[in-house]
Amino acid sequence: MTIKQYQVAVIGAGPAGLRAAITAAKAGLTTLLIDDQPAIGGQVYRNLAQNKDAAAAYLGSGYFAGTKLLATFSQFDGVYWPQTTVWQITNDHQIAITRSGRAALVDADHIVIATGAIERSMPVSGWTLPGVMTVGGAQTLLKQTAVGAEHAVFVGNGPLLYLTAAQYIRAGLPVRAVLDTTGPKAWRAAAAHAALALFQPAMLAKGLSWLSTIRRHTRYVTGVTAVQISGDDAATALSYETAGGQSETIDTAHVFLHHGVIPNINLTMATGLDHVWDRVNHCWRPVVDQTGQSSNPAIYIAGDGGGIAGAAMAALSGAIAADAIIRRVKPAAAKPLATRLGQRFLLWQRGAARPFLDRLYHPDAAFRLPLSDDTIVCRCESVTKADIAAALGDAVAGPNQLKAFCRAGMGRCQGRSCGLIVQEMIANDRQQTMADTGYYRVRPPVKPVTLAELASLDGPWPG
Amino acid sequence: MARISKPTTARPVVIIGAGIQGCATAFFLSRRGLPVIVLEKDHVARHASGVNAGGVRRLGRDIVEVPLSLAAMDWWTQIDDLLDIKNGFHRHSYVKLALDDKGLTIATDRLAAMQAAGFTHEVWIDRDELQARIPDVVKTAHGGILVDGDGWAIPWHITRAFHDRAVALGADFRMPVAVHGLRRIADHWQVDTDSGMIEADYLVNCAGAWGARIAAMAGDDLPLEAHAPMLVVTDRQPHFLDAVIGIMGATLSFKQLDNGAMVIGGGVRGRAKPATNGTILPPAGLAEFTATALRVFPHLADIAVLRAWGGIEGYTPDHLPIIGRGSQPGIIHGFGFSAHGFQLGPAVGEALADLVMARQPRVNLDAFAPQRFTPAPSKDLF
Repeated sequence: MTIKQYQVAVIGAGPAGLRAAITAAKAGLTTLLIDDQPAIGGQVYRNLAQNKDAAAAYLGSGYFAGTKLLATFSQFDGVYWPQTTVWQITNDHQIAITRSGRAALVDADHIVIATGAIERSMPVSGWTLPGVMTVGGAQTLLKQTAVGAEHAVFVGNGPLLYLTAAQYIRAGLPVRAVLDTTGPKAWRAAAAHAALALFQPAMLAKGLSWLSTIRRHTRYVTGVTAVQISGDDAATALSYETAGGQSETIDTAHVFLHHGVIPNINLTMATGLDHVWDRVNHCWRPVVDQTGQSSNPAIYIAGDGGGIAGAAMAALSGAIAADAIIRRVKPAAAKPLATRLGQRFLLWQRGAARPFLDRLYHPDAAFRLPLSDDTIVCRCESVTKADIAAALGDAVAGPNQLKAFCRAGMGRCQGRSCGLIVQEMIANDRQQTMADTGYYRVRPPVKPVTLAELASLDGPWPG
Repeated sequence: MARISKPTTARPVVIIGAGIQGCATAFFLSRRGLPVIVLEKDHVARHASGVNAGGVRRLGRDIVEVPLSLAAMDWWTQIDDLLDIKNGFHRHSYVKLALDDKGLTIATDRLAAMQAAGFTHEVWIDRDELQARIPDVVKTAHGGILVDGDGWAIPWHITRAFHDRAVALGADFRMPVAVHGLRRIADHWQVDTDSGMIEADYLVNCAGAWGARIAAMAGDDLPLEAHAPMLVVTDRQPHFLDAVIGIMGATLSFKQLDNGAMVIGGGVRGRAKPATNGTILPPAGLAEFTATALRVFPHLADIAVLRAWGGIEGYTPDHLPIIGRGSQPGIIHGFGFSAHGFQLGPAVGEALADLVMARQPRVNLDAFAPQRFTPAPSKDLF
C-alpha cells in the first residue's frame, strides 16, 4: 500500500541522516526517518548507547563525540522506522520499503539520501580467504560485540585503519603488525595541500596519536608495495614486500584490509541520479550542489554518500540539506543568512584537511587490481581475474555487457564489491578513462527483498 | 521507353539493428553469400533481445503466428550445430497452468481453436499428470496446456551466437553506429549514419522498439509503442523445475536456470525511454507478477529477489510483428514483435533473407504485412 505523504523522508540514521531528520522535524516539516539498523548512529556511532560504560573507553573520543548528536534525537518530532529496508526510489519520489516482512511505498515530497560510505575493495591475492576481512568489519565487531581477533595484521592505509588498529591495541587485543601501503608518490602529491590541513589541528593530532599508539605497541612497516595472503581453507600467512627491498612472511590467521572508503552509490545510481567520476578519490559520487541537492531537485544527498568527508562534516551536511528543503517548503522557518554563512565556513574548515588526506591515502593501483589469474574479483559469483580477462578478449563493450559474459556483478551485492575493479580492468584493457568506461547499471531492488515481501506491496501495512 | 537492365552492383544489404532479428537475418544472408552490413546504435543484444525471458515456446501463440513459430522450432532443434555453440537450447517443456475455473475456460477454448486450425502440439494435462511432472506446483491447479519440446535459452547468448556466426561468414557489424536518415536514390538507398553515408541495394529494418522511427525515415508511418517488459532474478535454490511455467489468463513466465536461480517475468510492463535507453520499473508492477509466481509456487515465499530489469521492446497495436516490404522498393521491415519475438528469431531471419533475395518465404507472412496499418486510399473519396 502507499503510505501518506511526508514532506521529508530521510534514508539512513547515521550523523548526516540524524541531523537532517532532526532539523526538518524541528522546523515543523512532517518527517520520516528510515534506517536498516536496529538503532540510530549509522556505522560510525554504531551501538554507542551500549558502549557508554568505561570499559569501552578504548573506542576513543571521536566515537563518543556522537553522544550529543544521538541524545538530541530524543527531541525528534517525526516518525522513525528502524530495521526498514529501502529497495527502490521511483521517479515520482515514492520510496519502496520493506519492514517486518511487508512492502510499502512511501510518498515523499523531498528525500534525503544519507546512506554513507562503503570500504573500497582490496583484491590482493587471498583476500577472499576466511580470516580476512575489512578493517571496517573488524571495527564493527569491536563496537557491536566487544570482541576482536588477536594477533591480526592490518594492511593498507587511511584514518579508519589507524583508528581501528589503535582501538584494538587500547582494548588489549595484541596486533601482530600494521603494514602501511602509503607510497612516496602519495606523499609528494599530498605535500602541496599540507598547509591547508593545519586548519584542522585537532584532526591531525588525533591521527598522530593513533600512529603513535601503533608505533609503540606493534610492528609498523611503511612503504609496503605488495601483499599476498596464503592458506588452503583459511588465511595462515601473509607475505609482503616494501619499496626498500624488505620482504617477509608473517604467520597469521587474521588479516584486516583497508584502503579508504567510497560513497555507497547503489541507491543513488539505481535512482538514476547523475554521477561523476572523482579522479582524486578514485570513485564515483553523485553530482550535488552546495546544499546536497542532486540532479533530481527533490532528492538531496547528505554525508559520505555524496563524497567522503567524515562524521562531523556529515552531520553538518545533513543540517544544510534539511535547511535547503525548509527554505523551499517553509521559508519562515529557515535559518537566517548569518547561520547559513556560518555553516559554509564550518563546511570549509571541517574540509580543510580533506585534499591532503585524499591524496596521501589515494589507493595505489597495486592494491586496486588483482595480480594473479586465480584471484577472485566478484565474490558473489566467484568470478576470477582470468574469467574477466577472457571476457575482455571477447570484445566486451563495457561493464554491463561484461556482466552477461562472465556474471561479474550479478550477485547479491550488485557490484558493490567488484564494480570499481571490473571498471578499471576494462579501462586499462581499452586504454580509456574510468569516466568513459562507466559503471554497472544498478537495478532495483537495491537490497534483496523476498518474493513474499515484494508480493505484499498491495496488501495491508502494519505501520 | 527502353528498360535499362539493372547493373550488378556490389552494394551490400544494410540491416539496421543487432538484436535477434537483425543478427539472424545477417546470418542467413551471409550464409547465402550476400554482402551484409549491420548498423547498431549500441551493441549486440543491448535491449530486448539480450534481456528477455528467453522463452523458446510454441505454446500460446496467436493462431496466425503458429506456422512461423513451428518453422522457428525447426531451427531451434539444431541450434547448436547451426551456430557452433553448446547447450544453446534448454529443451524440456512449457506448461500454461489453469489455476482456477477462469483459467480452465480459457484453456478449453484455446484447445478447441487450435484443433480447428489443425495444430496438435498443444495438449491438455490434468491435475495428476501436472503434479507428477511438477511436484512443487500448487495443489489446487486444475491442470494445464503442455507443449513437450519447448524450453528456454539465454537470450544474449543466442543473439550473440548469430552475430558471431554471421561475422565468421563475412558480415560487417558496425557498432555503435546510429542511423540518422534514409534516402531512396534511383535504384538504391543512401543511409546517413554517424560514421558517414553508406549505399545499399536493400535495407532491412530490425530496429525493434526504434523500428517505427527507422520506418518513418523511409516514408512508412507505422504504429509502435515502446515498453519495458519486466523480469526479476532470485537467489539460487536446489533444482526443482525443468519446465517453463505460464498461467492461463494471467501474466507470468517462470523458469529455473541451471545455476538454480529463478527468472520470473512474463510481460508486466515497465516504462521505456527509448531516446535515452532508459527503463523505469514501477514497484507495483514487480509486485504484481511476483505475487502471481507465489500463487503457483507458494513454497518460494522467502526466496530473495536480487535484481529486476526490463528490456526496451516495440509493441504493435495488434501485438503481431511487422514483417514485410515497405512502401518504397528495397526496404523490408522486421520489428514490433511485442515481447514474443525471441523464439521466432531464426525463422524471421530466414524469411527476411528470402524477401531480400526475392524468394518465396516458406511461411506465409500476410498476417504481418506492414500494409495492415496503412489501408489503401478509398476510391469513394473521389
